[in-house]
Amino acid sequence: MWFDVILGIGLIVAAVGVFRSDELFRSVVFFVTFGILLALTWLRLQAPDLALAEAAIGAGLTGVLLLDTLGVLKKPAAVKFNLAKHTLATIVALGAAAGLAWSFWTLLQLPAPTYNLVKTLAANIDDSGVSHGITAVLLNFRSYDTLLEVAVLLVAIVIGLGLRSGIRQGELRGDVNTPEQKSPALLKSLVHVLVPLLLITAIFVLWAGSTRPGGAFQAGALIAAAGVLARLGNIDIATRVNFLLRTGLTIGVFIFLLVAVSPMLTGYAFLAYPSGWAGLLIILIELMLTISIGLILLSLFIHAPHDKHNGGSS
Amino acid sequence: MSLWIEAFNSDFWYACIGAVLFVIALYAFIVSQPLLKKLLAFNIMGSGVFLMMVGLAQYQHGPDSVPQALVLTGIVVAVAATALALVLLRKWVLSGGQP
Repeated sequence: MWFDVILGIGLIVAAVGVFRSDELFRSVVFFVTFGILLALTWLRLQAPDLALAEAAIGAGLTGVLLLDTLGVLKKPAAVKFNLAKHTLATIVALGAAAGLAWSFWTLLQLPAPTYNLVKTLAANIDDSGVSHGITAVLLNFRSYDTLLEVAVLLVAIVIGLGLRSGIRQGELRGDVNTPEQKSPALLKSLVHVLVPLLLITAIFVLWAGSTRPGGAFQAGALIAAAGVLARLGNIDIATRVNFLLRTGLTIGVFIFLLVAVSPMLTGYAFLAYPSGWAGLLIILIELMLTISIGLILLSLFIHAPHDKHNGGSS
Repeated sequence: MSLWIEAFNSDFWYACIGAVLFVIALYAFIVSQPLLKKLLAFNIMGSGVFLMMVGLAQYQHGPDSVPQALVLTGIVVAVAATALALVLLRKWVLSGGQP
């Protein structure tokens, strides 16, 4: 119990640290700390899948993206104290606090709900084709949500690619004409060791997803992390295979839609797996989703607009 | 008051922490000037909502896969939105805007 108390207070302290720091760099470091504490919190809430995702995405990948952006930003103008803004913020925050306190209070007074999702899930998991509850929910019981989620990711990367620098000169060449920068020897050799390890871990996490914590999102995040690391070590995989990259970005949504629509030809509902095939189809979709999610997150990093004398287009 | 003490386990505690995080992040989102800080505040608001979703769903029944799966979806969408916001922010700064 004491651990929970300290962890909860730690979360709030880290969040306050993000807001109170004057320097953006400090804010980002506090934010990464917050992400790691949040991963621990998910473990305490018995949600190992969320802990994996938070550690890889919230603390790792977002941290890299934020630090990379700091290099582009100029020093922000000095902060002026704005009374009207502070008054507005105080009123809004007090209102939100009152609303939340009221709803927590009402929730406690409600009788226990008659439905119980935990039992419903346990009763139906044998029909789902996988034995891990979260994968069953994500790719069978609520697969509509997951389909739309991947579509959201695709929209994000389409906008991201549209805004990248140097789009006019030969799109397909990408950033190939970037001058090779020298990276430290230690970093380079470390990258050579770490990238294969990360990829193997990603494949294991993907495979583990059907029986225990793990799955496409965590594996995709690991693949993106491997790509980011390779990029930092100046191993430029992504821009050399531009055509494959574009195929990879869309293949997740494409295969998912194909699997979702094809049962309709034989009279099943949208997104209903034919009986007996669910397990196999879920693995297929997860594999494609892993590739797509990994590449989308990686591309959002690689194709972010750069400074002119700092790589990118000239 | 006894209602609160009866319900109080670690799931409920973390839901309360989520509510506090949401409120302070909302305040910081309005007050802070740099766009990057607004983005961080928005992310922490989201984390607060995730904590409330999982904590409040679990404090009576124990671990529940359905809200956890929804929050997993939420985390991935949040990182994609953050990355996209950073791309927009960079483009804005590189074309002469105030960060």
